[in-house]
Amino acid sequence: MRAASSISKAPGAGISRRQLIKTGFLGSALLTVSSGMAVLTGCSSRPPRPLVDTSGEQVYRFLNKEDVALVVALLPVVVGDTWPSQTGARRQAELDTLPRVDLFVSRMGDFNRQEVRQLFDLLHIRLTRGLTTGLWSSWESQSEQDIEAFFSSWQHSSLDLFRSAHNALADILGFAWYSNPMVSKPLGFSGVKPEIAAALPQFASREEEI
Amino acid sequence: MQDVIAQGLAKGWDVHAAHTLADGSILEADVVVIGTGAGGATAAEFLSSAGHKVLLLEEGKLRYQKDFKMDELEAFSGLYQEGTGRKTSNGAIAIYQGRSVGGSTTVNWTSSFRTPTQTLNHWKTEHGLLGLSSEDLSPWFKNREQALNMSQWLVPPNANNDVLRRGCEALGYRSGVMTRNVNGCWNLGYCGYGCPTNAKQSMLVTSIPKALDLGAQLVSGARAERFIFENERAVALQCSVLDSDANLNTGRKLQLRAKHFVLAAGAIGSPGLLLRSEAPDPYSVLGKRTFLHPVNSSTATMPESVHGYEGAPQSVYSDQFLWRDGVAGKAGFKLEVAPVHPGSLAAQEASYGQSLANRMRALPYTNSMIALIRDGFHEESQGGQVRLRDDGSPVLDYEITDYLWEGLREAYRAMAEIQFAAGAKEVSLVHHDAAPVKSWKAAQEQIQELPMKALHAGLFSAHVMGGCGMGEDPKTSVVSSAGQHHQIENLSVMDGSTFPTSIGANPQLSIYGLVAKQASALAARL
Repeated sequence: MRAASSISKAPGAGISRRQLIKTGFLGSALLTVSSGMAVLTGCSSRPPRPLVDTSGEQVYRFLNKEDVALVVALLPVVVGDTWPSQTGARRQAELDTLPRVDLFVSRMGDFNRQEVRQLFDLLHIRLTRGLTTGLWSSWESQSEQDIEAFFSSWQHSSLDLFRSAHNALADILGFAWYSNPMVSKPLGFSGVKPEIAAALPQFASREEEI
Repeated sequence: MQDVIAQGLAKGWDVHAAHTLADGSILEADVVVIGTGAGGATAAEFLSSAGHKVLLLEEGKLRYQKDFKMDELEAFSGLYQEGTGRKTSNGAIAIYQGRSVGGSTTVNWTSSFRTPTQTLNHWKTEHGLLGLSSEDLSPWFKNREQALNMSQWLVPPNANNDVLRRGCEALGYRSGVMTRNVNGCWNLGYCGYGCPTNAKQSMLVTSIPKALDLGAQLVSGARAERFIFENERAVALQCSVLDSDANLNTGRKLQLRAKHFVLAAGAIGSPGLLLRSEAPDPYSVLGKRTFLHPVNSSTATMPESVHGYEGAPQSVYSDQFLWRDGVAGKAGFKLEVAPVHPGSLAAQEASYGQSLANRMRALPYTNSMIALIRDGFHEESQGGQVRLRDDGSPVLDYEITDYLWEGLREAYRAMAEIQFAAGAKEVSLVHHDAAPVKSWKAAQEQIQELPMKALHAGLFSAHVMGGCGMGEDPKTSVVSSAGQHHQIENLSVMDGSTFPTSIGANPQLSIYGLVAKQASALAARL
């Protein structure tokens, strides 16, 4: 939402501007608190536990199971109605986009990875999620409207911490989705034209060198 | 179309990914050059040509034509510092710097300008620099223009650049055609993702191969952690070895030894390494006066298709507002356009959800105009400061002063005016509080009211400069006009970090010309 007034328009369960400011004093300390709690509860002890598939192969470099639920819940809100509405297409979009989010974050350097980890943990733990977003139940059970209300309130928060967290999430998820030519070609992006790919040696080779 | 890197590797260049070396390896050379971008590679070419044994160190990976598949995700995550996640410490300004062999020259948009005479005069009169007047540097600019095949772009601009040209023409504003460092350019538009055809005359395909042909050694995938100083001399450089993706620290070590060190890790990396090394800094000038050319932008929907992802990304510029109030007057800005690739547009837009989706649906009709603010020429523009985080990594604190905000507000005005003059149907200022507007009048009203505040305006920078500023007085500078460190006798700094202000133009040729002069003098001295 670009409109400056979107906070007042935020529907239903979203926290109001005043509530956000109130929790805000807590908020600036919450990233630290949540990372401490994560260790105490063991719910996301570091190093992160990447997802493992049935064969025992590590699926993701960064994302863990809780992250996947969070990312899947946020994606439709962040990228808008280019996100498919039909269930099967949605599932495919999730499967296509999660590895892209994972690669992008995993290459952001040690410091940023740790910051994203703390932000994700904050959004996983019920208490810190509830205080900062107004969303008390799990990500799987949130409506898009409620997530939208929280995301908009962070965008227009008076606290720089929430604004920058909003921007980081919007950048990561927006980039991961729209940088996929499968997504952008239907929007008119030309991508790599066949005649160009045919003329360039790097598109002929399939082997990945180190 | 030659792949000079593949050919060089095949004929046995002395090139190593650090993770293939034994843990604790010690390598020696006459000169160790830290960084392989515009500064480091140019220094390596001149030092190697003079017969010195050079070792080039790069933190990122050696990526070249085989890796350049015009893919945004691979490029953003693999060719840029912090995988394009780098920002100022408050998150307000995104910073795009290269991080692979060739540094930012591997990913820049080929725009080539000599350092403006106004800037060089200011450096002489206000910062006391010696031997760096336009006349002094002219032969070195010419030398690099020829070496890197820089010439004015004679192909018609793509429609994205033409919006800037047409808008300026309609308003009576000046605009110009850019000079580019390309040879046999296919006009594809993917300069920012590693040139897929080797046409861009980046350091990757020019100065680095020249140095390697002359016997230089290249080690990639190792991070310079700390200098060891003894008696005002650098005796060794301790490095951390990264994994095969040049991403995660393996915990293994590498040490480099040399008679002389040339630091060229960029304007965040260079001061960062010196801070980590606790280099002597008796007057607390290290890391200060770091400049960004802060960039704001305006996105327009044009009635005709623009296809801003195709064609030379930058070929038109306007300096109408650059020096509008004198060198030391109000913050001036250079106007250019940015290529409109889908992922980067999505990341750059200060919007999400339905408004982002609407913008992306208009992708083929989108023009992206940018303004680069000239910072560092006024007392209310002292730049930012590089400092170390708890983990030792460098980060930039950069406060946008009221002086700069006024320049940014003026720049929003100029961009929207030009876009509407070129026929834009709708203009979206990249700002979290700005809704799209359909007329120049509405834009003016909106811009007057927009809060000019950090994390409200969408800002980025691709030009980090300063932090190890040049000068002859150690009380106000880190290195001399020759790039010689004031306190460490066998250390030179040769990159954009030595600029005492920003440039007021895309800086690659400023770095090439300056370093060519400095490195050739150093090569003669050693």
